[in-house]
Amino acid sequence: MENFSKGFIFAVAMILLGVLTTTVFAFRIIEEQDGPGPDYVPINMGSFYAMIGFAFFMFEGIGCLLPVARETERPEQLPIITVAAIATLCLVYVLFSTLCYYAWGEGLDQPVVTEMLPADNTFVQVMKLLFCINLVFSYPLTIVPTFNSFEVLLGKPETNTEEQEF
Amino acid sequence: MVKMGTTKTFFAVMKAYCAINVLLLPRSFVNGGYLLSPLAMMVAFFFESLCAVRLTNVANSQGIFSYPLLMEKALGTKGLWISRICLGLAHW
Repeated sequence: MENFSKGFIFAVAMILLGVLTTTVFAFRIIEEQDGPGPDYVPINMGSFYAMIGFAFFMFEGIGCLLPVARETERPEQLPIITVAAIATLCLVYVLFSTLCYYAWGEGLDQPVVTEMLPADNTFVQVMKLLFCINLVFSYPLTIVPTFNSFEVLLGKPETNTEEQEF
Repeated sequence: MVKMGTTKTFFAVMKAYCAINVLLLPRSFVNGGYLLSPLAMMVAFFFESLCAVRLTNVANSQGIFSYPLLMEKALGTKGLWISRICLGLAHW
């Protein structure tokens, strides 16, 4: 589990790197065009329902909550800590995405925002390469809960102390 | 094993919720628009927080920190199996 923890930290560091890099490029674009990108609208009537579904998908970390609850010193404080952590993340998500939408407007047509960055920039290339390495770490992390569930199906007893889910 | 303090727990929860989909979200903001998208995020945050608080409260009160065992306590053997299958499929 210690090895997984290092991989997890690396994965989060890579996400942070992606967010910071994109933020820098978004600010540059805003400065160059001196305002928002094309078709910067309050409500996109043609496709807003897709956003509603995605908003819920953004908070999918509940699967990791019980293992954290098991390891925390003062579990009675966990509800407040959890709300504070999710609120902080929500704020970061909203600020980052609004900034990107403001910078690129309707022109933001790539599913992953890092694809909007200039492909010939060396720093962007290194960042993308690190992201590929990140996938190597992410796959075992993702598959562990499935693997554990499968083990139980094969007859391994369920316990309340081992980390069985993320 | 050393238990986590408040700050460490805060970052552990952040780490748990923070995923690569943050890089997919800007495209969804294009779909939603700059007004509706933050509103949708607020609604999702409200429901997610509600679920998280309830889940942790129940886990603490029962002293059970395993999803399948918690489901077994709530719904019996059927709950245990539903939980195992859903957990497996959710992370597949």
